[in-house]
Amino acid sequence: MAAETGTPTTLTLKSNDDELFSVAESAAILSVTIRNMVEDGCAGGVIPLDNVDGKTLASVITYMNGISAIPADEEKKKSYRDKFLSDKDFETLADMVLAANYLNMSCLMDAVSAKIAQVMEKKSVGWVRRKFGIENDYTPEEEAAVKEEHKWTFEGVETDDDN
Amino acid sequence: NEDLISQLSDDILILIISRLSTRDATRTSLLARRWRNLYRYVTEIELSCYDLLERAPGISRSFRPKSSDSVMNALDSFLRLRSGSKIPSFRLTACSNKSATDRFEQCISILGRMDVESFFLEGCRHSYLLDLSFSCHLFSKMPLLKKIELSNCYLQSSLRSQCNNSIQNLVLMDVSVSPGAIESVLSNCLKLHSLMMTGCACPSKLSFCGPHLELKSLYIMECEGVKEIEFYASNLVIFEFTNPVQVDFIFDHVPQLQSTYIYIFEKNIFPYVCGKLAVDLPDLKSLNFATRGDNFQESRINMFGNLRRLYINVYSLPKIHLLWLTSFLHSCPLLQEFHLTMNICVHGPLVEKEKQAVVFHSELKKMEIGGFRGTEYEMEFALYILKSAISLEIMNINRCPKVYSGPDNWRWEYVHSWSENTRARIQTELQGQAVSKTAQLTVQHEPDDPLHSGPSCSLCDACCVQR
Repeated sequence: MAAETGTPTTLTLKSNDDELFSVAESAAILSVTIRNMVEDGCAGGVIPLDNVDGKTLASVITYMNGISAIPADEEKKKSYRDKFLSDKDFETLADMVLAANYLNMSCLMDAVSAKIAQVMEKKSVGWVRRKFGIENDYTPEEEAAVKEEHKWTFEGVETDDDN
Repeated sequence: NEDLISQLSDDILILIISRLSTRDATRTSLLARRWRNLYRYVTEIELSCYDLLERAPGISRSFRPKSSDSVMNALDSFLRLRSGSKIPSFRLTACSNKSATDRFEQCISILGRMDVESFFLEGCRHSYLLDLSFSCHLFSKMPLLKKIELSNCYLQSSLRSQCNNSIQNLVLMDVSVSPGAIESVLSNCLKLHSLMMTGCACPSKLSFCGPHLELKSLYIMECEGVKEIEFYASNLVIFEFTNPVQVDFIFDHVPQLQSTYIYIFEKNIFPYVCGKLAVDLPDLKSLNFATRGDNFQESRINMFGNLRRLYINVYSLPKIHLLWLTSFLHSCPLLQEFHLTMNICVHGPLVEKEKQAVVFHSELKKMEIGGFRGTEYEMEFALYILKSAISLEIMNINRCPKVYSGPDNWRWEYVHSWSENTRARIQTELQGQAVSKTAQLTVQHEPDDPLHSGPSCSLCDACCVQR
């Protein structure tokens, strides 16, 4: 790594729709995928990220820069993550979780999963299906059987006309 | 509505539902066929009777389950539905009584077959069925278990000796420990490295004895009923003890014991530390104790010939010449670090002590004084150290007392800061007084980096296992 030279190294990342982004190496190596490329010396030119589109990559880079600017303080990092994700819609979150998975960024992965999970918390099955557009492909008999198995999980869900 | 969430891979969906409560995660199996079994891959499970008895959490704090069988039956069917999958981490808050013992043991066996590695069991605090009981032979039913924490229940000894070779870490919190149970734990859990007992009710005698004990760390905090503790533990490295009353320690064989913390509430244990403890454990490397500071007229102080680190927290300190501490320092010739905290100071009649000649402390490199107000006696002591510690590197003077609060955990207690005049006076009077050229003096309200100011425990990996 060129970190010893004293000048911050910049990497160029390319999204799958051919947008180019410059990002400080110190921030980019939050991604284990990118860090491995840097360590293997394959980060000289442009790093192609075939599974991430430009819009998502821009967002991920904003996150990388934001979180790496915070010193080792887990509280502050957590509040940055919460704030960063607070205005993201589900579509963005889904893209982000895929990108975080591909880039191997566990902290972003955890935060986005938690954010998606939060939507489902204490919600009825019907509500979650509608919210995410999940098609119910159980036959009525199957559904009744599964429901019987997990009867206890229906206590304490928020009331809903349609479950 | 496009079904975006179903475009995610199973791995990611499992990661998402892993963030939910066990109840919410299990309910997702109803969403659609693809979701049917995803919940089975959640590796951390947390259940309570409220879950198992189909109650909404928090609705009735003191409901009475019809029988403890119903709790165990529900647990049993939950586990059977998940059979074939692994549950590395399982937390259960349950009520139970003796009639359900067999069902409970079956559940433990199932968990063992599901490769449980970390198990937390707590007796329900809101139920009237208050005798959840864990028998020592159950350890052997969970062959991959590494860490187990029992809370608010009974620990029973077992005549059947069945070994477990995986458990490293046992925590007992508010547990009623039956006679012989600890001995049973030690003879059944052959790899046990760390044992912590907090708030337990214990028999009067506890024995940590065995020819091949691997136990490295032992923490006994505020356990009722103990009068005598016997040790024959050839691998024990750390022993920490806090209790309202003093107990008899019988250190038969503790050749590796390096680090000890002792705090007996409201007692002056200085005579004990200088006397019997120093005789019993002359090879300690690290000694930490909290004591009342009312009487330090010790005529004879035994030698701690190997001591490198010393932490003393003195509270209820009368007006006293701190130079009495110098005689203690003389008995620790290899001391490198000395942390002194003066916690609560009481003004009383002045206790006089003859001035002592300066004896050089050649090894002392770090001196930290917490709870420093700036009195004449404190200044006198600080000056003594500066003039006698010929290799001193660091002298930290802090207004806030530093308090030890359990395994490798320190905190700064907040107190009002000095006036700027006082701070400046302390700084001026001490600056440049050190005989050691390398000594650095800091005078601070509290260190900037409180999280990292605590001494790190480099003695062994045993307390890392603890966390």
